Amino acid sequence: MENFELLRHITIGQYLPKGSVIHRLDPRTKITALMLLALVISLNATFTGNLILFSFCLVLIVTAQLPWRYIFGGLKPALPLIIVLAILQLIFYGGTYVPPNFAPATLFRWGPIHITTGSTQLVFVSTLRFLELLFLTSLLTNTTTTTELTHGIEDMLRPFSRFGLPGHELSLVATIALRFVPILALELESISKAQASRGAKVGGGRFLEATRQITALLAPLFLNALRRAEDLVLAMETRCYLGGKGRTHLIHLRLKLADFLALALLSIFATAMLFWRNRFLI
Amino acid sequence: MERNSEAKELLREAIDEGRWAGFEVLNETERTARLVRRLKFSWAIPIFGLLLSFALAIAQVSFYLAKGLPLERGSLQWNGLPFLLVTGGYLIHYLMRREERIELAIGREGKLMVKGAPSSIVALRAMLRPRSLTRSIVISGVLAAITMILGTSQVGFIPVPTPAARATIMHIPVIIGGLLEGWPVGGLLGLIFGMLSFLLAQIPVFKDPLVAILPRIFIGITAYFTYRALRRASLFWTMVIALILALLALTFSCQTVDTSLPGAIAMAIVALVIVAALIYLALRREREVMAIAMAAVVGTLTNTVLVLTVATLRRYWTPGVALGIGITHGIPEIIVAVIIVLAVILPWRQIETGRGKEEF
Repeated sequence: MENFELLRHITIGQYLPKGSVIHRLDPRTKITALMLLALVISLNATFTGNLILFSFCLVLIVTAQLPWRYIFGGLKPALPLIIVLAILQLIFYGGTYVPPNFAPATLFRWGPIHITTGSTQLVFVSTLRFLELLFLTSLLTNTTTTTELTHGIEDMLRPFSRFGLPGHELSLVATIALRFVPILALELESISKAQASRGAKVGGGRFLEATRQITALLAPLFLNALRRAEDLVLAMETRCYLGGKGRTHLIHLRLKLADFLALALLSIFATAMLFWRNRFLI
Repeated sequence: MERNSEAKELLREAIDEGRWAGFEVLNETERTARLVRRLKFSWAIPIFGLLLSFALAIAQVSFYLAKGLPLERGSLQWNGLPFLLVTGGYLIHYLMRREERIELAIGREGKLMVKGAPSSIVALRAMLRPRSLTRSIVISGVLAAITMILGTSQVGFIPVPTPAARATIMHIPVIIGGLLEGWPVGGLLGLIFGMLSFLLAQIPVFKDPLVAILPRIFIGITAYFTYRALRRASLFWTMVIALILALLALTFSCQTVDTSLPGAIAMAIVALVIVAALIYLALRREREVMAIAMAAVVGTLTNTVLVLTVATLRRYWTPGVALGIGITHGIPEIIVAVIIVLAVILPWRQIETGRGKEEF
């Protein structure tokens, strides 16, 4: 039955009401923080740098009072793939990957298999990066309600509306997407159960068979999603939704002291990490 | 009174749209019209087969010249095959031809009723469907949600026997979005796909926004324009496109013989299948099906080719490695994309229209 419980493993897009400091921050602060940290993470390619960033993410999770089991539960389906990719990188990237801060030395060599200190660093760094970015994105969506996110995105896109960028519409797209993730995950779950109860195999199989299985899951998923979309369109149009023009808001976002503090601390951390990005010894 | 003229206009539009799909008006009254299409024998097809054979010969000769090998009697092989296949297939098709009829009528409430072949109804309905901002927003949102689910769960990857071990299907929502709602939605969904793939990437290549995000924006856009161009393409233009595609694929496959023989053979087979499918669908005048399938192919190719090109330009891979990845990943991804896109869009359009007699 483990195979079917998709929703349990999708940690992105669900709000967990906890009332921590991070929950109470302004959504714009959190979005800026996510973007800044994503930049820092993508630029840091060293052991030490990524360890520091990883512990920083763990600290954030603790501060947000999110349950460990929930956060790590999301990793379970991706685990075999992470391991396979890590092994492949370890074995085959040794000859080509050059780490930014030291010259690679060969640890083991046999035929095409070539393990260097460079490839061990690559494996370590790319696995940690994956975890860090996954944690950060789930952190944003787990501590922010969709309404807050919408307002935040819309507010941040407003300066660009002068150049014809439809900020309101884009933020609505993001909201609908986040809102539909759990619904469609449940849908996918019940479709795969339905197919399995008809005797279809779920999971495994080689290319052709896997394709057939996936088509049997995805075609109904897409069709159901589109059908739900049509319902939503009808509901919105009967309520005279006309897009963002001339729309006003009940809630106005205002940055508080905590937001300024958080942003200041974060910028100091990010600048330091950017400055030190390839200067750690290992 | 006004409703009556509106209904007539609707009938007029439907008839015009039918003409695009190859139908002729059999008879027409105030409120009804009968359209019919028959297959006429066309010499263009055998000539096309001959051209294809010449193309194969040219590709082979260019291969031998490029390699500096002497041209011998045995150098040119299998040249007659495309001609025989195309002509033979066409003859069988022609001998088994049927005529198709659809009937259009204005119903009691001033609505258009259609009876007949489903694919022609699809074409009619697609044209008459109103575009709305709300629908674009909602459909982008829903498809973005599917992309997220595919990206974060294991459903989004199909195991293939290659070093990277998986073919992605995350670009399929992007193609579907582009086809259903036009290029802005396709571009937006591509952007979302790119950002997700950037955020969730595990191999260093995709930690580069230029590789992960930029090429993905174009998937939905090229898919949409391919669809639009092919929906109303005539048989002649379809064959021109098929010829160009076949030439490209054959040259490519001749060039890759050295790198990998199975890859080259696979490319040649894929090229032949694409050409055969194009001509077959064009003959049956299933323009919608052909256009959708080709859009899926072009969308997937946009993804593969652009990502690999940018990655090679940024020196993550050597051209040889990129080529290998392109062949081992591109082909499975194309096949999966075509199957799923067709399996989604055709029923979806028909749910809106219904089979057989249905008002719309």
